[in-house]
Amino acid sequence: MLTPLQHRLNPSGSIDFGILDTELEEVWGKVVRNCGRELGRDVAVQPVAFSFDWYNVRFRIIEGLRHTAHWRYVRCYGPAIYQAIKREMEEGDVAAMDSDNPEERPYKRKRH
Amino acid sequence: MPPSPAHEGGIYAIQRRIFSRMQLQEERTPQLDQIWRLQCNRSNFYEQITEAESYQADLTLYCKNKAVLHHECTFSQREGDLLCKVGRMLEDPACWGILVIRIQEVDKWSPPKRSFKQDDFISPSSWEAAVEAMQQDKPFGGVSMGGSKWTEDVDVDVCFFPSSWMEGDPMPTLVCHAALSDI
Repeated sequence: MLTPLQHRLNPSGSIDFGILDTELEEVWGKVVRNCGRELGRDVAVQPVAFSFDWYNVRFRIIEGLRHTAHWRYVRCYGPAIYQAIKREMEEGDVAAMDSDNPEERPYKRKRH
Repeated sequence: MPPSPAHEGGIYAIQRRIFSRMQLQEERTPQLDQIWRLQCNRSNFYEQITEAESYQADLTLYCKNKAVLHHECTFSQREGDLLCKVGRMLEDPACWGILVIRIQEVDKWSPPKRSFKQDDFISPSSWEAAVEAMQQDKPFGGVSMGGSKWTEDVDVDVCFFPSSWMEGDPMPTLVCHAALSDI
């Protein structure tokens, strides 16, 4: 079970997500006010609160690592062959995959 | 080499958050929609001593076509290359800073030397289930499947380079190295 990053700060206390969050919120405020100035003096711009959901960032990275591993595997396996076998499996044509004759294997077939 | 899913995952997380804040901000100030844009992989030009170079940030917030905030996500990219790129991009006076997520494999990964046969086939769903279970214990650990290693252990750092940062300065504090890794 994953827990939010905010609850997993460096135990030494010397490094804190709060530092980054504060810095980013300040920058967001500057960016928004700067954009507001571009709109003209009669447009008042009040920056909204800004922070990142670090739990979500972590979740996406872990997911990305999982998919990177698979991506590398498929590249080594041979993407075309992999996709052909996958398609055949999805179609339930597993019997042909067990054939000893390479010519009968699914990835040797032409597209329908 | 095309960008890896790890690289894209980091960008996606940042992109959706910035976009949601932009939408919230536009509820207060609808006119902002006319002047700001969040764009991916757009070339930005920087004046160099001998030539004009372009860099593509993974994600950039533009205000009236000026790049004001960048995000970079790197996967196993050389630190020197990253710092050079960041330094160049911060030379733009319109830029307020660059948020960087650096995903670094602890050891250099090399593809398996053996060839793969039909028996080595692992379906995407089997892969997903097996690796997800593996990641419960060690989220940033290397992934091994089918007798081969497909990713090495990674460190993940997040840091913000303010506009005042220059190439040659020390790296900003990597604020969540431990927070991301020690789970």
